[in-house]
Amino acid sequence: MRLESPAKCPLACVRCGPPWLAAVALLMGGLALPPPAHALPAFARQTGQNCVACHAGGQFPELTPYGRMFKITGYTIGARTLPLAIMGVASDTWVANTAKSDSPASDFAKDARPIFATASLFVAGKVTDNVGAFLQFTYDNYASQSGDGSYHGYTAADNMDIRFADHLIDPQRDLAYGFSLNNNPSVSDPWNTAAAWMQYVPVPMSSVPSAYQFIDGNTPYPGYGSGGNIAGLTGYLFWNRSLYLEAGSYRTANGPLSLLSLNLDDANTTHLAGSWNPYWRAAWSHEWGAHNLMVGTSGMVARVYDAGSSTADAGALGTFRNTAVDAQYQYLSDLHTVTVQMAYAHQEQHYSSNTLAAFTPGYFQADGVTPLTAPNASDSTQLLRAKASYVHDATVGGSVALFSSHGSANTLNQSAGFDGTGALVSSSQVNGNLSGRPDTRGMSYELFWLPLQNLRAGLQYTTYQTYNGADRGYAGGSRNAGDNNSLFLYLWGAY
Amino acid sequence: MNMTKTRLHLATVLGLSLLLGACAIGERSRNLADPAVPAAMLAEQVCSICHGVDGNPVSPTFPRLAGQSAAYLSGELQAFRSHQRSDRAARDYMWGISRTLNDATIGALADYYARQVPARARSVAGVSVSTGEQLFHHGDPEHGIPACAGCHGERGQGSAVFPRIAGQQDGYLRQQMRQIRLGSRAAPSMQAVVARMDDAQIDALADFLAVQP
Repeated sequence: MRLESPAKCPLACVRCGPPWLAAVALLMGGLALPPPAHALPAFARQTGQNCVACHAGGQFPELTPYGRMFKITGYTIGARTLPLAIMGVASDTWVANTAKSDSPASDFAKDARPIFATASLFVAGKVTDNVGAFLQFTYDNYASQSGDGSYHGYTAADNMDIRFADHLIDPQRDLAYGFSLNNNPSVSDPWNTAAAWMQYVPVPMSSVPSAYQFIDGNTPYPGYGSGGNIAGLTGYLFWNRSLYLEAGSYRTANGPLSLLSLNLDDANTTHLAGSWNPYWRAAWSHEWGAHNLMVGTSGMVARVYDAGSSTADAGALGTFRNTAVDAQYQYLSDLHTVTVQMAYAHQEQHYSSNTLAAFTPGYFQADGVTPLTAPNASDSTQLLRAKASYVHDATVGGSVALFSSHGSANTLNQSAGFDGTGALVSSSQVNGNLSGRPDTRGMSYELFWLPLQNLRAGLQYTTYQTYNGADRGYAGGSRNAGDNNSLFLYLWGAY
Repeated sequence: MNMTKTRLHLATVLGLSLLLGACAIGERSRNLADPAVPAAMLAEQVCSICHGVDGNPVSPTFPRLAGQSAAYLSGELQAFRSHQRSDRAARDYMWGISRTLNDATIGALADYYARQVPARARSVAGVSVSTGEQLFHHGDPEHGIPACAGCHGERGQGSAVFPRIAGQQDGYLRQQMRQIRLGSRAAPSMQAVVARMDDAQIDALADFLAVQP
């Protein structure tokens, strides 16, 4: 999950992060040492088991059937222990072409420069025999940038999931059920094709620090228009380890629920209309031998106020309708782990009347005289995401993924066009959009190595065939989609 | 963060804890460290996720426990707990599961699974099974391989020291025999035997044993 970009930096900055970051820094250094027998994050300490028990081939956070049941039963297996864990990511990135830019120094400020990207503190584990929690607080080292170019870090609530669960099981029946109070639609889901989990390598925000906007984690992934840091209560059941049903509703995470949007100021908190923004999920799962398969569907309708607007202003209310189908296949044996994932998501966004009224065409059609057409009142987007991965001996692995988003053209989304002289102009040669379409297509390839079960080094290469609606000159200049191809190197550790 | 917000967060956490705590059923626990939790409940709530509620698992990564000798199961759980057994599966899965079990719970868990009925495996016929049958009953004297029945019983039913292998999952048997041959699972007496077996013999034996009642 990506944090909102705060205007201020109330807790920390790059030079002086929050105190627990010191622990993360020690972790990143200390991981070079052999770990003690149970040098594992909070859940592993609770069960005493190694990462592969819950994570497929050890590639956290993708869950095995056992890991899914651990989650569905409310994180309550094992014995209560110190419920704390930390995680940190250091990374570097290289963009194929940094020359085709209005300002390479700002567009690619962190290109080819190693950074300490992000870190999280987890409070997670069993509370009672039926209650458990997973609370993540994330520090984004590059959450915002001042006019003088300096970066500012920020800590805020990330994924949160507090559960009550029960499991009715004997030789005649098997029904697990529960309730989840969470802050991100689908974060409660046990499969990793869910929107909250399909992209799982922690990454900096899409545009800060610049140069990271093209890495795999910032390519189109399934998501809900409502975004995160909202408050939802869902109920779920898992029958005979085959049928999974979940439904609930979300509202603004304020008042007594403000823990779920901790440290986000009001302007950066997502405001939903009322308490009825329904979310639903259905999945069918089957296990046979070393194989398991899931086919599912999910959706949400959310009425969201425009960022920074007053909830008393009905004209600021827009609507997102998200629906998706997804599937996941796993083959799990001692030496080999194979996973194939697919998600196809559809989104309809109805803009608020304020957004449409505020539209002022900044560009003309190619003749330099005819104004752009009025914006659509709504847009639809379709996204296909698929990935196949293999891990050998929970130590080395790789994956191939494709992403393909396609959507309606809308002058509202144009950030490049023709001026009054018929010349092409763009807000940004790197991030501009001439077509008004969101279409982005490409592939991602990854190799990774787990020298220790709680340390992962990965190298991702992302290639673009289409970006912002076009293969070539997508921003109205000479920059082509392929110029955004990126290499991303990361070191990800948890303790 | 101002004091009002802090109080709100504390109120949220306390309120949730009280609400959810009040809802805690307490009847079904997955707490491996609580000796008051009956072994049958732990078997259903925890062990069943991998081994099946009746000791007949789906995945070949995990052994079939149904019908296994109680004395053998008890010994294995104690070996996991003491880390005497330290193969990879032991470290990954069972050290943690067994670390807080007391002797009484271990004994009761062993009894629970010993009482379960092994599921009938799918029928496999052909040369492989007949080769496996020959190996099981007579061994391969030419290569110094003794009959499996000598230790594991005439029907592969096992004993306090040697596991029941009749009806065990073929995938699990293959995996274990290869691990023992490689030395990654310590079993000195068995290693001397499988060291003389080739892959075809291991496969044949696994095929035969998997379909035995």
